Amino acid sequence: MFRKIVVLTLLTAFSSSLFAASAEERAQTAIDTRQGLLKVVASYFGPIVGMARGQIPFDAAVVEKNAGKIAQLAPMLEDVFAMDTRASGLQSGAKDGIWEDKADFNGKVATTTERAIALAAAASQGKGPTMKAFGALGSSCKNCHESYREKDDS
Amino acid sequence: MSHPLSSTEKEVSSIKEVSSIEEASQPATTGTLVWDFPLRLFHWALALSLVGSWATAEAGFDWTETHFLFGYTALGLISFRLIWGLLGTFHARFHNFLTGPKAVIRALGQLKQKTPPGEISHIGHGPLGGWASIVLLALVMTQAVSGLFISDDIFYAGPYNSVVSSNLADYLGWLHHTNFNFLLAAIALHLVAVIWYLLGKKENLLKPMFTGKKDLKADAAQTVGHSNLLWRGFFIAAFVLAMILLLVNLAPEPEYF
Repeated sequence: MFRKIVVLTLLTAFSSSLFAASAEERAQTAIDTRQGLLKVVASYFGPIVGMARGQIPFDAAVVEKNAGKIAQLAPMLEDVFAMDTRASGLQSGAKDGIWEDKADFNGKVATTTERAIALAAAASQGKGPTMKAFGALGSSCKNCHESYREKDDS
Repeated sequence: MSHPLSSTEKEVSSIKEVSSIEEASQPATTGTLVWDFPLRLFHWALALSLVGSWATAEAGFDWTETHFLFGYTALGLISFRLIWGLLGTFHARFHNFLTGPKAVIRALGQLKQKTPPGEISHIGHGPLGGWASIVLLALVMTQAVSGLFISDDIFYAGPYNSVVSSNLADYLGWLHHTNFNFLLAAIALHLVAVIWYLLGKKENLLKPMFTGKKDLKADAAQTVGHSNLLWRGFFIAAFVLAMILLLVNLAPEPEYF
């Protein structure tokens, strides 16, 4: 009897630590995935910032292409942030609000998608309208970061 | 009280001559150069660059490049002042105005007293003003240096943002935005002190920051160098300018892929 209890206890402890490890791995994968997606978004956004700052020449074709890619990528933010990784205790820049107010988070994602589509459309209308649309897209990124991205600032 | 209204270079070179003439006619006081021209230029250029930095930070994305230029200017000005504090004129040198705690406490006690007419409480920086200037220099330096490394991940990136880890960049971003409040408070204190001296202590500190001159008792006269220090100031400024240009131009090219 006693031996059975010991074995059962050990088995439970062992298997739960196995599950814990896999849960942590899953959470880490989710974190890596969403951070990776945001890096890809940034890589398409970067050249447009460079054009806005005058560091590289304005190129409507690049703006249209990159904004189009961002419009495809942005909706994926909703998917990659679907998994709540808070319980894992893993460090990431994601604030709790993402999962506490999912509707608002997804609404912000939708706004970004709309504005990326608008930027792609504005690209053919010249630099002025393009930069206005660029500002609108960037503000939607910023707006979401302010609500849901933890700055490492303490 | 007559001030010689010569050009600055002249006023520096002829200061000893002027004071000896004035000593003969007016033995009590004389308009003596205390704040040299490079120091005054530094002071007002720094004030301008801080106002400019603030305005361009508030003005949004289109003013980013201008904000950076003001930041580089402030960085250069502070560097100049640090060197000028070692190699500059008498009242610009740190070791001539940085005092121990006793003098600071005594100066605190004297803050409430009116300065007798025709007298001044300190020729150059007093103990409080001296340390306040160090605090201001440190705050502006912190602001300018932290700005080089930070980014908001979207619109802005300082020239050296890519060389630091994102954690450090985040921390420096927090520093840039928090330190700004301390800088603002320090500037407010600086202005309050000048106004307090003017209205409470009945002593005008503002005018000497324009003219460079204070009315000193002849026996207390500590004149400020002579014209070769203007050349020294020019060379230090040129050196600092070269360093800042190097700093900006050596920044890694932003990568777009």
